[in-house]
Amino acid sequence: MNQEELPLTDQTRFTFEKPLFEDAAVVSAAEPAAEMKRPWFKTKKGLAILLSCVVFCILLLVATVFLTRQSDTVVPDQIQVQTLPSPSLTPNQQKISDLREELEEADPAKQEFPFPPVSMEIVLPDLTKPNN
Amino acid sequence: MKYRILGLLLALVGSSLFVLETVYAQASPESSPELTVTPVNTTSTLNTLKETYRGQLAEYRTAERTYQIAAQQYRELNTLVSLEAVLQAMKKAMILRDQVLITYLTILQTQLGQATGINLDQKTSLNDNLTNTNQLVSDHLQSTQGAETKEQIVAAASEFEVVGKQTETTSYLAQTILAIGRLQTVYDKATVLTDDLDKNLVATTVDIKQAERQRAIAEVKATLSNAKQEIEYLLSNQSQISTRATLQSALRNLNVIYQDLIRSLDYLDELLRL
Repeated sequence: MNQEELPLTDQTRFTFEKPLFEDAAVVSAAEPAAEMKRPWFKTKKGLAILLSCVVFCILLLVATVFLTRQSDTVVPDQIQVQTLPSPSLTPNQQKISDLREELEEADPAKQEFPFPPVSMEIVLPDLTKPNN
Repeated sequence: MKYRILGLLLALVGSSLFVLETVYAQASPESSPELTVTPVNTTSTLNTLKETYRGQLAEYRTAERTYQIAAQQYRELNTLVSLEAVLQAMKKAMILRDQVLITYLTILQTQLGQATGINLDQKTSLNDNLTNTNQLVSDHLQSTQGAETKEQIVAAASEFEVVGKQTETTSYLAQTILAIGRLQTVYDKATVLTDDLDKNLVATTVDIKQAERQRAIAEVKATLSNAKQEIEYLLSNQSQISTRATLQSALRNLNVIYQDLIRSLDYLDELLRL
């Protein structure tokens, strides 16, 4: 006996399911060409587009980070950030804080420019004296 | 499907360009009016003078070392060559020394012009003093530059004894008065703040801590009064500040004023917490 003579020997299938099996067989037979076609991202062209897209995104990210850092950088000699009063201090406390800063700058121990360390005795040595 | 992917890519590129433009716009200063920064003039006269002073001082030190070596060789060899070397080294060192002193006096004069807390009479008097001393050193510089013979160079060296002493005296006095002025400024502001607190906080707030506040404000005023007395003492004895030793003594008094002012501010801080 061959398979065509006994089409319903598979006991895992019911008879009323027969039309479904037939449809499936028809569909799978109708699309062999579509299955053979590769997805777009597996083609050379698709892969190139995908890779260039990833590289572009990375470059964009790097540029964004670089520009953000540049905008945060402040040159200390040229610009001075205005210190805004701290929200936790009252106006009087702020005045005291400012006075403390001013007093620190007026500390007499901090002499920025003491008298120049120059010699007051630049003279022609007296050869008659032993240690002139 | 292909068109959908292409559309997606275009949308991605478009949005990326938009983000990039936004970030770049934030990075450029002209497009950020909220930025609370102000430019500072770094090429002010005082800064230029300070730079000049440092350069001249470095040059002078080298010249002084050369003079020391030449003087030593002259003592040991006593030849015409060593005499010529020491005379040339002397002249160069003396010229550079005068230049250093002139720049230093000009720095003090510029600082005096910008200083607060010094009364006008005192400021004018000190300014005149600095101008006269500067002129004295400039004259000495001119005579040193013109000195050619051994006698002229030796004379210029001995003339400096007077010039150097006056320069020292004027400089120490100027340093002391500038330091007093800085402390006086803080004292004035602290006094205004104390009076303001006395009027608006201590006298008007009636509660259980009023007496404590009154005692505190009295203590602040007493400390400030001590500082004021020290300032007046220093100002009345400023004529004695002429040497390095008297300057050191004045600096000790200035330190007392400084400590009094620190204590006053500490007390004021405590008073506000009562």
